[in-house]
Amino acid sequence: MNQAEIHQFLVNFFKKRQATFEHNEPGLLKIKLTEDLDQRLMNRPFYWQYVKKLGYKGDPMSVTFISDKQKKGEAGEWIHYGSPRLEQLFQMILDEGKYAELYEQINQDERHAFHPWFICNMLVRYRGAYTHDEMVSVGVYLINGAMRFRMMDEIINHQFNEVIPDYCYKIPPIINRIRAIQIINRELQHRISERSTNFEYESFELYQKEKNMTEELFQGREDDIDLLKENIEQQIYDRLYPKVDLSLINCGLFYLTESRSKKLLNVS
Amino acid sequence: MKLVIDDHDLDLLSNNLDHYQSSDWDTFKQAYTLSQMKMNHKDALTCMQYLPHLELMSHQLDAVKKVLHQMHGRAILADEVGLGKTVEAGVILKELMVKGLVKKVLILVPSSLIRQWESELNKMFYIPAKAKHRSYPWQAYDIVISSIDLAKKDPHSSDILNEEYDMLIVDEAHRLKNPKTRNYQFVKQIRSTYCLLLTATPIQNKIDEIYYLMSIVRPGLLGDKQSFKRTVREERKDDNSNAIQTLVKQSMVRNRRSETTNHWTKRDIDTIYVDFTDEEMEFYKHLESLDGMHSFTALTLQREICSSREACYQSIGQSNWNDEFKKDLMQQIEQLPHHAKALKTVEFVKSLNEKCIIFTEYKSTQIYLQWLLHQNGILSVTYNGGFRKSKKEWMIQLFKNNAQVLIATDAGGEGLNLQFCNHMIHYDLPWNPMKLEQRIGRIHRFGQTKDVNIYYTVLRNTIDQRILDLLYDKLDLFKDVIGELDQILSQLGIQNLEDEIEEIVRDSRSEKEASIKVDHLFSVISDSHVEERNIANESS
Repeated sequence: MNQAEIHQFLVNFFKKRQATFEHNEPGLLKIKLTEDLDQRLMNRPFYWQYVKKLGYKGDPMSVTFISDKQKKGEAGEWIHYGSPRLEQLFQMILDEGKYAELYEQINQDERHAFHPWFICNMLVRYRGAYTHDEMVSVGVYLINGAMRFRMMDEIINHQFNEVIPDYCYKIPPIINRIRAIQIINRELQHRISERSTNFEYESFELYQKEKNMTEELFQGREDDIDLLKENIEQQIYDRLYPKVDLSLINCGLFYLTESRSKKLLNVS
Repeated sequence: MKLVIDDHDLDLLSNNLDHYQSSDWDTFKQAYTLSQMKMNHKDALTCMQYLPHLELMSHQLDAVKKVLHQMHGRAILADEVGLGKTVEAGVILKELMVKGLVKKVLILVPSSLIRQWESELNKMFYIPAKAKHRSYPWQAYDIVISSIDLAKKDPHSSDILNEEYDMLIVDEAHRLKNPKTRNYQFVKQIRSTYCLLLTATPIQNKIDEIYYLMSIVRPGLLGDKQSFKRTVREERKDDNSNAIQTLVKQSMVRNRRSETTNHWTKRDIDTIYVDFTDEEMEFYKHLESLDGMHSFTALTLQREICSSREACYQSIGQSNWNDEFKKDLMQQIEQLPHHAKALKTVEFVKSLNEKCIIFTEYKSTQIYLQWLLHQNGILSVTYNGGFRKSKKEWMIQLFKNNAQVLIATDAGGEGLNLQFCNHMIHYDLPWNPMKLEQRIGRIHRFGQTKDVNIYYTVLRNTIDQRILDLLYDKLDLFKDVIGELDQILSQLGIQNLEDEIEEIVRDSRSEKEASIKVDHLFSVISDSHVEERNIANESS
């Protein structure tokens, strides 16, 4: 996201969350928050506690966000990529968008059977000689357990709704979601260990080298240094030993039309 | 298979599936693309995109990359003074935090720099670091800044040793060079995955010092103590061997000012000459005539009268001469008009009409100058080592926002960042070139965008001018060593350069003799510099 895109991001973010727009010009946005937004963003729990206790209706704050360098002089909060406020908004989106149950959008009045997919987006982080991230997006067809990788790429340009369209029905899943997670986990671990040999080798070599250095240092010394040695070894392990963390971005139950399901399964 | 895969998150997911609320497609999609945007790539610095206002100099960027990618997050940062070690440490910390490798951090710095670290980390890097407050326990902090003197005391030390930190940063780490001290023992025991030691002088006296610093950062790299000593001995015999240097380079970054490609703004030096009034000159001569009685005092008094009547008056008052003699001298001082140099300085500040810093050696001069400036409608603030921390900060704030002039004494000036000002007047010339460099370093440092103007105010035909001719023309001689002067002097057994110079000035029978003596002193110093450089000190 570059600086010029931030304004539009803010407009969309707050429009969607029903804030009142008091002033909106390129690079400068003044809004009145809703009570919910105020409580989540402005960090003034005592105010809200106090207001509630007295039975008053609280007064949410008005905030001005500036994202154009030219307008930096005006009163308001300067927002740029990396600023704590923007991170806070990002985090809200990440929290809210953790899970979804959605139906593919179709032309009206068509009859369709919707097929169930479980889609899981994960970040794979390699930690050791270096840190490297990979995004993995897997879809599991909940009828037969078939898997489709790069799933988000396939569907990201389509539209989805939260309710099932009229005249449509869904085919009940045969495999449940927990089972789907297991299938994904097993396949992912398999792929990671097959394909990350370079990373594993490089990190392990480094780890071993440092560990040997420590061994040599403590050789022939038996004073009360066990603790020190343990600390050093721990530090070396934490830093260099080849590790992979799987962390969840989001997941969801997606109902796709039969034709799209078939297409996805054939390609993979 | 050696790989350890952590799938904890997926287990959690299985347990919590029913508790999630369904979001709409836009939010779901946005969460996915945001995560994509925040991904880390091998050998890339992710954090720089979060710090768009931060421009690193090329040597800083190199240092950061080296520490992260080659040294894997444990290193000694040993850049020379003023090259921005703090910024390098900040970027490294930020990067490790962005990568999710570091959460709990302990930062140990000299107590005078705690606030500065706190505000720089917060404002420049958006790292929520907090200074340790006495009413909160250590474990309550994620990122805590404290002084080593506090941290090593009980009960703090045992609290800290119970914690497991992800990162430890020690500023001014040469305080850890002696393995017998509590400082060293304590820091060595702190548990931390990543570790940065910052010092401009990794070796002050003996090469052993680097051994002890290194055994905190990478224990075992230089072998055990015996084998290290053996290597040092062998290396002394064999000129071509640089085993230690090669090893040290593996975990130490050292940049020198002369080697950085960065464009430093220019430094212009100007001398402003002033003449004493006849009355003042007469009194000055009178002091000179005291020479036979007690030459040390006479020289001191002469230096003082060149600064202000007040400085001289005070030290006569405190001397152990008999009362009558004192009274006589003090009465003479009372008769003197306003100090010629002070008047000239005020006039100059007025014509400058920009922010400037005045350095003086004497507190009484400081107060006198402030009064005199005030009489002329110029707002000034004072600054000295005796002030409390909060008062110092307040004074700097005032100088930044309101006052035109900051009048400072040398004490307490270390570590100050005053890049927003580019004029400095040395009202009294320090006799120790180190002091001069430290003073100038306050404004001529990383972040200064304008050329820097330095002024010496000098009284003609007085000790001022003698020192100017004797010392200041020769300063170029040890331009390169200035950052290491301390360590070189202690190597040479010179306690105090200032005393040494004072002795030369006092004992020499002619200017010529003094000049030759100073030449000798300086050449000894710059020679030992050459030796010093070769030991493990080269930047790579």
